[in-house]
Amino acid sequence: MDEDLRLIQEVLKGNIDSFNILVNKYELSIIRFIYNTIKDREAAEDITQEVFITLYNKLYTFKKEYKFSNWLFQIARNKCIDYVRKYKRVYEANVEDFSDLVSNEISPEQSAEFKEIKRIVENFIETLNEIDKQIIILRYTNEHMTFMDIAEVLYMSESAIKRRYYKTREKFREFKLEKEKGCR
Amino acid sequence: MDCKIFRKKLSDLIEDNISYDLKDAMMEHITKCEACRSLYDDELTLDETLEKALSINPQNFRSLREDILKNIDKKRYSRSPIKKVYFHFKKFRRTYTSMAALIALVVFVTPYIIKNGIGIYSGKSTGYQNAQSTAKAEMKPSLAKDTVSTDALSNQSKAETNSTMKKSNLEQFAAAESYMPKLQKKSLDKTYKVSDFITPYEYSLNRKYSATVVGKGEQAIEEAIANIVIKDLNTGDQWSFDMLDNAKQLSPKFVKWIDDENVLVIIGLAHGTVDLGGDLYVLNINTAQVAKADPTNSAMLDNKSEIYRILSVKTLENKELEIGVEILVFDDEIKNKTHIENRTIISPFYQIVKYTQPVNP
Repeated sequence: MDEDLRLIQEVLKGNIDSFNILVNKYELSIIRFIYNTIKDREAAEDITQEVFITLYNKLYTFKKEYKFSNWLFQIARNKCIDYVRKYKRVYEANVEDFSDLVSNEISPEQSAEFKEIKRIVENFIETLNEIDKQIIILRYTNEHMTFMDIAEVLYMSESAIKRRYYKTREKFREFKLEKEKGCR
Repeated sequence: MDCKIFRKKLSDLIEDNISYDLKDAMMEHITKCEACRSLYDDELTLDETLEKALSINPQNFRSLREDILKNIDKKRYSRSPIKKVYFHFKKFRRTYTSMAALIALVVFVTPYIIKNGIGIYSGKSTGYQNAQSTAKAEMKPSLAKDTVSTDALSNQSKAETNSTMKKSNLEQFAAAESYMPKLQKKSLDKTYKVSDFITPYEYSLNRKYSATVVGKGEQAIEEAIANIVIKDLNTGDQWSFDMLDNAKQLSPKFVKWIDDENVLVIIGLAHGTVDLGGDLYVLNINTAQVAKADPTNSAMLDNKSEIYRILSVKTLENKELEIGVEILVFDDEIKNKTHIENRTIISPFYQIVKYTQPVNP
């Protein structure tokens, strides 16, 4: 039996430790997805917390024919949509935040270059529409989430997701080239 | 492998969505082809860039596990069967609600359908009943007289019978009662000669007019819709009276003068060899207006009898008419056996002529 499903059944029997395992397993993926979507660290933390509380309360409605992680990302996505609607947030990259978020393993020289790349990606993502943005975020924040799973999370067909994904990739290639030219 | 295939399959290679054989062939290809290798590296770099740019340092986020576990209701789920049943019902509440609604529908609606039938069919059956009743009324206008109390003159026994009748029947017969044949008066040329296929001429009291029924033979038993031809014997003027709006296929059968203005007419079914008589009407030859000669059914006609011949007409002192008639009475339901009875109709003629006289301005 699928490990997630086994854990869910345990939670439904009243086993809180199983829920602890589930949170531990998915916490980072969810916070990464939410942070990349709304670009606000504190809000991302709050929303992630809310996602897992909702997950717990609605766990009895989970249908085993679906993939648990996809269901969890659906909840996260809906919470993000709610948040954006509520605050009508304009996603502006918080430069101060960046320094904190950069991986510590990168050397100072690499870090400057990395910051630049990160800025380009952030700017590019801002130009995308909501769906394309979420396809890219889901794909690159979850160890190459499959197109089938992205399709399930976004309630779209797999072919539509693929088509949009490659189009966005090409757009990014052009965007990046243009930015690099601009720098020189 | 050529570059064309390689480029076509490149995205699959990056996705790692190809067979091992193909993957090996592609990896081998890039060791030889510089252009394809650069394309491949470019794709990988792009992937890496995006992935790196979107990655986060977990250390910058506080762990939410504790907060989450603090904020959940730990007793929400348990092994208790009550809770299991509760959440089961909650989970499938839509299914159960729709099932309950369906059952309720079946339980409450089925008896109703059984009782009243589905709209379409009940409508049809009503229509059928109506058609039947209309047909009956057509066959026997006299039937109506028997069952509907027309006015205060109606005798008591009939009224009693009526009161026991169902309302629907009353309505049906009332509809039949309201039927009144219409005749259209037409001037004929003085030279017009009626055929020999007529009932014997009837003359008005002072032989001013003659009247006959044309088209049904001497006994008026042939199958045809006849007309009445009246001739002014002094001037030679002739008129025909033809049935108008005759959907019921009725025909005049016999005529008998009351005075110089009014004539009694038997009007019955034009076709068939069973119904040889009909109902008795008063026709005003000036206005072509028709009224029932016996609105109170003093001849006591029912659905087994009809007026067959007019024997005599006599005006009484109180201006009522005493009409001697032969009644054709059917002895069985299928109208095979008949006999003839003589009866007398007392007709409130002074009232009837009010309807047939020309309207005074």
